[in-house]
Amino acid sequence: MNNEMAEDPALVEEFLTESEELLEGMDQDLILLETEPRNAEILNRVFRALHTIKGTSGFLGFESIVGLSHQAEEVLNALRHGGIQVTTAIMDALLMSRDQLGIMLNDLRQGGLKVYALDALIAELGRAQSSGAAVHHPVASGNLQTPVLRVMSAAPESPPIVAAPAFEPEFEPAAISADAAVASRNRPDAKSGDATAHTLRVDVGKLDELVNLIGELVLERNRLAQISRDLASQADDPRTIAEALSLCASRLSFITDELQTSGLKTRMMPIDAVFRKFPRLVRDVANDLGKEVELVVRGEDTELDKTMVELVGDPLIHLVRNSLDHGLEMPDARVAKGKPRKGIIRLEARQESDQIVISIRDDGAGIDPERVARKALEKGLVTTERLRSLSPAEVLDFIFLPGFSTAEKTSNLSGRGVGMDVVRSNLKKMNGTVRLESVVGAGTTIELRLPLTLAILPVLLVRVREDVYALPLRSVIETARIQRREVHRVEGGEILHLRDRTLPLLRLGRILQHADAVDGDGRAVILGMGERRVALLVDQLLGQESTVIKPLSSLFHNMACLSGATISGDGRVRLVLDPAGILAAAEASASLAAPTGAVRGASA
Amino acid sequence: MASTATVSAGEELQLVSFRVDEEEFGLEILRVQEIIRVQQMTRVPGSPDFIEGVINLRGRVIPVISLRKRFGLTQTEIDKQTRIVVVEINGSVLGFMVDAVSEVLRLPVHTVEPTPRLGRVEREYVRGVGKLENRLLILLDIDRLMSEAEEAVCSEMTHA
Repeated sequence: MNNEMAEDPALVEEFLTESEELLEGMDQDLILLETEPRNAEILNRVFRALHTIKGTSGFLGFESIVGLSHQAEEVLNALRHGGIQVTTAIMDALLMSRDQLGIMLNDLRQGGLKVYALDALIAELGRAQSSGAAVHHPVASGNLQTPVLRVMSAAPESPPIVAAPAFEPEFEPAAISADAAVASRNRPDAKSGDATAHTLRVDVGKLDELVNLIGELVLERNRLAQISRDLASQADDPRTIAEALSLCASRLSFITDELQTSGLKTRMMPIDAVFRKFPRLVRDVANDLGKEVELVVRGEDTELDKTMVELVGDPLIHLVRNSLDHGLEMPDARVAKGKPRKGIIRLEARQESDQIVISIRDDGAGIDPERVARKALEKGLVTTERLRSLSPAEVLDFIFLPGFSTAEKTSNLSGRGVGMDVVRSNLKKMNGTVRLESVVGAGTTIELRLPLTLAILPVLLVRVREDVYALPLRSVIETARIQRREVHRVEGGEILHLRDRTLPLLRLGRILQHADAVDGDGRAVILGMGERRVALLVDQLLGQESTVIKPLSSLFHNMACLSGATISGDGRVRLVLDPAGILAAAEASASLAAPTGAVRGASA
Repeated sequence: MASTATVSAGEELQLVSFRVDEEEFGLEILRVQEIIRVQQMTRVPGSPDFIEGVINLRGRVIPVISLRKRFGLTQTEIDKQTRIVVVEINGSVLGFMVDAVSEVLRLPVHTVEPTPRLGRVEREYVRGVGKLENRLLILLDIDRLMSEAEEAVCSEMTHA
């Protein structure tokens, strides 16, 4: 089996991309099939996908892939022609085959196929095919995730648990355990979407637009060259040349703007690439937990930047697992509360102006702010004083602090208190935000907001002393001119009365440790992060701009107040501030100076 | 331009030499991406003293470290001689500000000696000392310099 050599790298690459896409579709279809066992269309789709993989891998000489896909295909054939019926055991065997194929494709991508102990799996498929509804399965309800692998690893010492005739442990023990380890490592995350990481399918219309614009750019370049020649030979009078130049400049600016937009459009892809992993994930996790769950997915054709699609996957998986694990109750508990046995998780994406909103909503137990508050006190994340001034929504926000976990017992599903803070910091990397809403007894909604693309960021430029900084516009609620008499000193800090509200006031100059922060009048930028509002005092507002954001060196990664840099029209670097970081820094220093309710004004 | 010291059959180091205060330093030429003049610097609030700021290098934002300050000297006025040596370390690009860049030269490996007693420069950043006719060239260990700069940034930030 080891001499399965890759022939032509380009052919293999094409095979991999195609097969990975097919496998991903198959994942979804198999789950659908479980709910609609008689749907011939789905059945045929899965069959065709396997058949294509088998055909191409046969052509390329990947015998082990051919062997496995052939056996799985046989099962589907039996299902198609009515010989057998869909059972959990058959579905498990098919899903496992799919996973195994995924592992093999991945190995192939990493350098080459290994030796696989496939006999047990193939035997399982064989039994599924021949026995159908009467299949005798070691795990009655099929809720243990990898029954076959369990049998396999038990095989060397003890006779197989199942006394099935087709099942004979004729494989090398060493190979099995390694293989089982690979399988179990790959299994929990159901990470099969690697296809998206390497290639991107772009709509031809988008490319045409791009090429047209490049054509226009070339014309404008020629025009510029002509003007330059005219200038050199002084063929025209300076005024005509200046006019031509300014016309050229304005057209160039129009074209480059368009080019930027359509360039970014080619990077947009439907969020379906991430969403389609969830039916399988929810099925497996729900089975493991013994919960009954219906997953409703909406807006899967919402487009966002490829990078974002890749980055948002892990946080989403985490959040959905959280909902499954901590949000939804056990079926009996739900019935006792007068809810339907089956819990519902809704996963939705939609576009709202220049943002993408992704929400995960469950109809589970909800999060009790009282419990969160107690926990936060226990962990020393907040003082009793401070707690009194916080609204329930602000209390729920503690969930996103590092080291916070309300789960009474930790589970290997949703981690050990390293969850939500990681979700928030991942979103911060994407210039996004996360917000949580929960009603005790009725469920929890988590809302992620992401910019359409990572590349362009609308900012507000502000000046402090001689330095100019950029503030992401999405956190700016409003700006106001303020006078000294509107600022009041309270214990440990300052507050600003703005209309009927009282806001904590932060001086940007002080936060950034400018030596001589002014104490005079200025402009206040009201920042909003989730439920919190603060006023940030700056010397001057310089206006709005859409900028291209650049990463800062890793040297500065620890600086919470900064999220990146942009380059201004004159070529200078401008730092982009991180509103959440500013708030955190201000709170940290305020609580050091005066541990008792430094920003009590917030909700007064 | 390459002032060739006596070239032996043995291995040679090809170095860019530059001056910080009274000392002359050498950096392997393969590590150097380019040498640029000092340009408009943007200060990064809250960063350690030796980080002069960030600059725009053809659309990339890179930090600039003052070697003078890193060695515990005060930064003198930036003049016509001052240069930024741009290097890449572990995939990230950064600049070192030096008083002047002198030349590109070759140095036979066998003439490099392990670190002897040194003046102000902290010994840890030094890979060795090369002999050049009548002067000494300190070979800088920029990886070391960088990793310690990173540590310094981290500790500074957590104490802030």
